[in-house]
Amino acid sequence: MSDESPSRSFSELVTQQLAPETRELWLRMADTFEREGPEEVKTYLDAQRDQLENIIRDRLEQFTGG
Amino acid sequence: MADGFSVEGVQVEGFKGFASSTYIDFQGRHVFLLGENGNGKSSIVEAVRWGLFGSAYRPNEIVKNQHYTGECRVTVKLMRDGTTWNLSRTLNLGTDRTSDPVLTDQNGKRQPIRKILPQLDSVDAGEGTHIIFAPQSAPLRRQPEDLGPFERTVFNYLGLTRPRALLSSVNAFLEEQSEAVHALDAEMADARDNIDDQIAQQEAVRNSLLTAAPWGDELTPSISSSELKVRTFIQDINPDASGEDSRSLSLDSLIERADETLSERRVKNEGELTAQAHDLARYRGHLEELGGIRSQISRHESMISDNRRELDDLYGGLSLDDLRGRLRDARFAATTESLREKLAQDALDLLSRQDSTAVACPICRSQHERESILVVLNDIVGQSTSAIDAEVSSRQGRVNKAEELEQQLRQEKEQLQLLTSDLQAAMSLVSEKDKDKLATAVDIDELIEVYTETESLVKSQIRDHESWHASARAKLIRLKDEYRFHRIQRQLADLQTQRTELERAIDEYRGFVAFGESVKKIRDEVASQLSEQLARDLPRVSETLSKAFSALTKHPWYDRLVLVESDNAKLEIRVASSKDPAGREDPTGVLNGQAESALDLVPYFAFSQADGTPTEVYLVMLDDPTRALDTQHIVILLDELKDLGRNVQLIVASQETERFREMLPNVFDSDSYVVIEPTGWSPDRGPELRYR
Repeated sequence: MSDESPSRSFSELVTQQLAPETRELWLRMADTFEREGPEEVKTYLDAQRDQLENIIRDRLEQFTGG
Repeated sequence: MADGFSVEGVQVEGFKGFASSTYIDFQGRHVFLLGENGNGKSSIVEAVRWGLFGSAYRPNEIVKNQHYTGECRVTVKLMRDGTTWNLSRTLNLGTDRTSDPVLTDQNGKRQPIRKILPQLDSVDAGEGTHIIFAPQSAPLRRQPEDLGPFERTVFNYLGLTRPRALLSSVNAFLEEQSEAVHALDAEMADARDNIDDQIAQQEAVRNSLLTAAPWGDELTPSISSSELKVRTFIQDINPDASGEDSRSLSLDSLIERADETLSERRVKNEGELTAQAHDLARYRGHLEELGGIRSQISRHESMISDNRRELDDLYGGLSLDDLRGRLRDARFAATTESLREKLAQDALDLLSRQDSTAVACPICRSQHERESILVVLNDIVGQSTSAIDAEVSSRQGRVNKAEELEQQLRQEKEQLQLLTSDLQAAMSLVSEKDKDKLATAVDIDELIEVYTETESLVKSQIRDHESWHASARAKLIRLKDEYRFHRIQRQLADLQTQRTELERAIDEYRGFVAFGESVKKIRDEVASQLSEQLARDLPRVSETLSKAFSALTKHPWYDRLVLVESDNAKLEIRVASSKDPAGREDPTGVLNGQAESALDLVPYFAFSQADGTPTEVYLVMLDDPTRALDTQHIVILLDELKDLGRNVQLIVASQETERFREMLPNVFDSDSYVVIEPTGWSPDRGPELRYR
């Protein structure tokens, strides 16, 4: 019994159903999911969000002086 | 895949209730830990759990024995194909939870756990009171926190634990993402409103300035043109200032410099003139005072002269004492005359009482003719004293007048003396030049007039300067307004730049929102796939669970379990009856306590028997599965355990010592199990272990 095959097959099923514009993000999530586990997917998404949010907040700081 | 490991025994040291190093020998058989609570049964179950998984049933539980000074260590002795391996786990110093496991093979050689026991390495044994480590179709990972033990076991069995955990992770992310979007949205709106408000305010101020442009009808000046105006202004108000000094200054610094220069000039010029005017006024005051004193002296000297002349006239060559002596003489003569008249009157009274023609004179006693005496006496009485009285009165008047004039003369002299002192004091404040002038018969009033004119001239200069300053100040205000206009223009340009930057931030924010939307679509697809798989697999799982449930409970009506999916891939369990396939009930409320306890055990029996191929450690541990079970159900449980034990090593802890002692020989072969009874636990020794 393979350790990763169920997760991989699940990922592939999801991949097949996704539209191209979301597929790239999902493939990165799926890679994290398969290699590091489901909790790390949130860590990955958090990091992506933090990166985007920090750029916005850096810009906002110019106006708020924060 | 090779056969799985069985647990031969466990060496416990400084772990939970074990205060010293103790080996518990399972002999590779099923293990029944019997005895009262508090004697160490659960410590043995937990030792195996912690030794294998590195975690206790309660996540924050302190596993180290507080009475043992040595290390906290558990070594699980594993047997496979006749070889003994050791999985040894030691609690890291200074921590309550982290530990390092070491796996050694039959030769004492260290082996990688991840390779030999991949499931064990990835599992977190948090499945509730009962734990299971049996052939599962997927590696076990940390369970999602929003599922109960029953659900977690089902997802494990279906190999959907990780997809389910993925869904949970993504949902948790989306919740936070939603909060972040709301927070950013509010901040964006605040920033936009703030900038727009500032632009509106600055534009209003600029428009207000332009209604009366400080540069008049000229074209709107450039900054350099305004700078030149201010430099020229500074040069105008302070010709001594060097143009070089201000060449490198910005417009705001130039305005500041102009303001300072104008203020300095006002302080300097007007200060000097005001001080000069003040000094002149004070000096003129001294002179006027001096003139006043001199006038008073002159007046007093005149009065003294008049008094002296009047006194001289009054005295007529006499002195005051002479006048007083003549007054005394006149008063004496008046007194004498008065007495004489009184005597004559008395004599007339006497004669009037005598009838003879010749009478003796009352004074000389000689005989005189009555008539002649009467004539003389009447003559005396009839004489007037008014002349004498007038003389006395006249002399008295001269004396009084003379005394009064003498008194006045003394006072005038005293006053003159005081004025002379004042004059000397006043003269000390007069300049030497003016003293000379006064000495050369220049009239003090003329001098005062000179100083009054000078003072008036200085005051005129002050007014001229004030007028000049007001004009310069008005010009500076216009220059300041001009500077203000440039500053507002600059701020508006900055604000427009900020607005552009904010638009970029808003674009990035849209990307941020789109990122969340993409994750949401992915979440929906993950949930959809999970639901599809659950819809496909749950009927089969329900059947498997129903068999175990029916066997464990022997319930007369509810003999089926049905799993249904609710929101977000959560499972709900329902009980049903084969006699009424459509009816489904929530177990809570329709099952009695024993059936509910049995329900908790169902997954372990159902799924452990589902796959006969053992992997890794093939072990089922049940801590106190008999709570709330009566004898009949304990018998049922033991029968089921017997079946389960054909493929799985059992470790079961129970308080039902007597019933297990009685029933175990009837259910299990005597050489297939070992009974261990922990007893007599004490903090310093831990439990005593009795093997039966």
